[in-house]
Amino acid sequence: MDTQIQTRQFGQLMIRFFDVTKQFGTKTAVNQLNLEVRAGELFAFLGPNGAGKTTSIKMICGLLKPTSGQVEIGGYSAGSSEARSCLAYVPDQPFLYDKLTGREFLNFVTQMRGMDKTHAEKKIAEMVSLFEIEGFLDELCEGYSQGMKQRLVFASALVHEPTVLVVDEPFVGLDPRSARIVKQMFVDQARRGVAVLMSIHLLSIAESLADRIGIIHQGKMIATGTLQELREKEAFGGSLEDLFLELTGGEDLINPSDKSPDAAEEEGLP
Amino acid sequence: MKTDTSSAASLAYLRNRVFKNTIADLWKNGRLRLFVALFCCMVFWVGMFGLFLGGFEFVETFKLTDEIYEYLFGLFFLTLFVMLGVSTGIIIYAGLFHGREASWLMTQPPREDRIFAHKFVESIGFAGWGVLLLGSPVLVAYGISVKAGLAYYLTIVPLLIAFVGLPGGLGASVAILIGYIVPRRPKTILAVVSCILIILIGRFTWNLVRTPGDALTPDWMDNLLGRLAFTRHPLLPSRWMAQAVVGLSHNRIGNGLFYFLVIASNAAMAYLVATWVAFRLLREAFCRAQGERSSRKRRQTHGLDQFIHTVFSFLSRPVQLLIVKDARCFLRDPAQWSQFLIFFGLLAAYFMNIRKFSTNLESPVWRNLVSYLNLSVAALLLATFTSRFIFPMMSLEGRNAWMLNLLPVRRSQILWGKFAFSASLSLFASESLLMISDIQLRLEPILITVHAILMAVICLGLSAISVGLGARLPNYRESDPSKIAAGFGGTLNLVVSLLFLMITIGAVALPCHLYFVGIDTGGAGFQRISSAWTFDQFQRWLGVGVGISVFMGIVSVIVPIRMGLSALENQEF
Repeated sequence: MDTQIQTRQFGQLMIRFFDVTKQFGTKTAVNQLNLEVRAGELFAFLGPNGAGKTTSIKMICGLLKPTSGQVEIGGYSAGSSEARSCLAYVPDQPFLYDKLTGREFLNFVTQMRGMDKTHAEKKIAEMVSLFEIEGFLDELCEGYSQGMKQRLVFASALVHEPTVLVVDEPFVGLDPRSARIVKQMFVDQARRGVAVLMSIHLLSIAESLADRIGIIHQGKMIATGTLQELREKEAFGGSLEDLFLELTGGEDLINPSDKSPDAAEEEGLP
Repeated sequence: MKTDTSSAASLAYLRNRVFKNTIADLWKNGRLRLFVALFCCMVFWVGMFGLFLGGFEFVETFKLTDEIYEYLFGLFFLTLFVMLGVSTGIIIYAGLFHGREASWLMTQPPREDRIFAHKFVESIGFAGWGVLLLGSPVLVAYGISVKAGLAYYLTIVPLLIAFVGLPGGLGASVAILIGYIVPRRPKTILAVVSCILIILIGRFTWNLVRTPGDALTPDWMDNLLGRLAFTRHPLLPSRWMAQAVVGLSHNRIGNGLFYFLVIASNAAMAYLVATWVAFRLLREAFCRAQGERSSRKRRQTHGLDQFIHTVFSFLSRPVQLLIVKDARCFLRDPAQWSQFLIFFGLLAAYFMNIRKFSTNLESPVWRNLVSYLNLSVAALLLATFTSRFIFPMMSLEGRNAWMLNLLPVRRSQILWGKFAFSASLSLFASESLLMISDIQLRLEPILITVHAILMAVICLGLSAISVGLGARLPNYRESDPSKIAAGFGGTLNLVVSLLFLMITIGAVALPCHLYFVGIDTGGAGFQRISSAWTFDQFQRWLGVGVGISVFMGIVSVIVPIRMGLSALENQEF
């Protein structure tokens, strides 16, 4: 997968953080963050709890404004109507209207996006088939399980063919089959030229899917690059999990045998 | 532009579908609830209508001028105006800055003013419904008493709807500005506004009570109207409403319609200003409000914990710990303790100064009457408090059932813990208030004792009703306690609480009233029944009244608690 990534060419810049800082009172949640995600790229955003991932994502969606610096989506300032029109956002806790059926919710989203009725119907049918939601589409959302809600939210996010897809913890509550569908969907979207940014705690998925990985810790981006680049930069031979722990202050949890020979020697390990 | 117009249409589609689906769902799965809610509304409407019809017909016997009605309606609509402005502001603030829907919509294509308009329609729908329920019986009763024509009745509903938009628009603008200017201090602002309003209302009431002259004499009336003169300020919307109502009711159609249009155009302007404010400031205000979370460390509460453990030492340790948890939640939520403190504090201040309000308190009849009015006010306040804060507790606890079920606590203990928490808090506050009132009124020891017993019955009964019904009619889907309280269960809880108060207070108040009126009038008229009562006979009748109240109290504790326990034991989470 790594070899394949290195040969791929990405398109125009779709998500751009330029020296972004976000403060809540005296607490700095994001500290001079610089980040670029291009069209066709699948970027995994990693970091411990409270590192600033969700704050960064909310700034992309225009739900928070940076204290300083700039966030741009598709060349437009985040939060502007142009930026929102090309963006799809799936939060960690999906929002649905309890008293709408799944079909009504999808109709509502397509109407809100100003989609032509025939095109909207075609896209809804496509999404229904892709996420396998036909069985419960005409029931009220209040009766859906977490996984059903998550699948419907994905369908609603993609129905208008966004060019930027931002997802926060996308695999929460999904069964293995749904998770596989969603994973494949991420890859397909990226191949179609969509810039995908996902915040995730499941390192194995980031390892297998992401074109590039960014690790954020205490509001600062401490490492970005392909998995290979990160390993080379940190002179680390272990898994992404070990690399993550190494970078975010969890060295004591790493199995010594996973460390690179140089790093182990430096620490006096056998 | 296409996206913008389609946004508006799609949001209208959304409201339409949600409304239809809610009604259909209610019809299919909650027909009983629907009918009970409609029945309660009908009872309320008919009660209000009857009360005001009687009042207006009584007033009509004095052949009062239209000017007096304008004063009355001016005051009524001014009160409504303030209430609507504050309530719409709060609903809009909560909906725009704390609601998940607004958070999601802000990531979607609709412009900020469209999102605002969507939430505004919703909140005005709620407010409008309340105003129709409260205002229409008053206006219909007035129309009947002055024999108004058809045009008057046809204009009532549009008039009320137009009126709702004006304070709604102002309240909404202020809500967005608060989010923009002081995003970290919305609760402080609310507390300050509440305090200012209460002080103004208190001062106004004080002025009215101290109107010089003997009541209902022409001099007194002149002085009273002089003190109400501010309600006739030409720039007050309440004055416009009063002019419209009085004009239309007397077939001065042109005059009435003029003021109706003044109200409608000002309401439209208020809405326009609010949408403009939203267009310019909503996103920035939203972003600022999102960063408002307090990260300050909470103070330790060892002293309070120890106090609760001591007071409730007769309960098991897990129940004590649940009470400690509830007490901490109560103290850390200003919305709860501030309302409790403000209203009970105001009552305490009033009770302490009660002798300064009137010179009639030397008469035993008046002292008795005032003592029961004070008791009733404290009890009504308690009923709203238990309906608003205690009733939702079991629903909110149900959301944590996965955790509570794993603790070494029986479900019944959770319920008893809530009951103990509510009863002890209300007993302490209400008995203290009542003692202040009765001592200030210099009541006889026997009456003070009876009142203390009655208040204890009320506290235990109201707590049991709220806890029991809260467990019997929970709403586990809702996380907002105010919405749980405003739902079917909360409304039923309030109605049952009011019925309970009517019976318990009535049973004791009636013999007292008859006895004292009998003494005062020497047995004239209806009071002949009691005029022959010796003190011993009065004590016997009082004993019967207290017995009925205590019996009602026991029933009101046992029945709801049993219902709640049974529902809780069988509940699947």
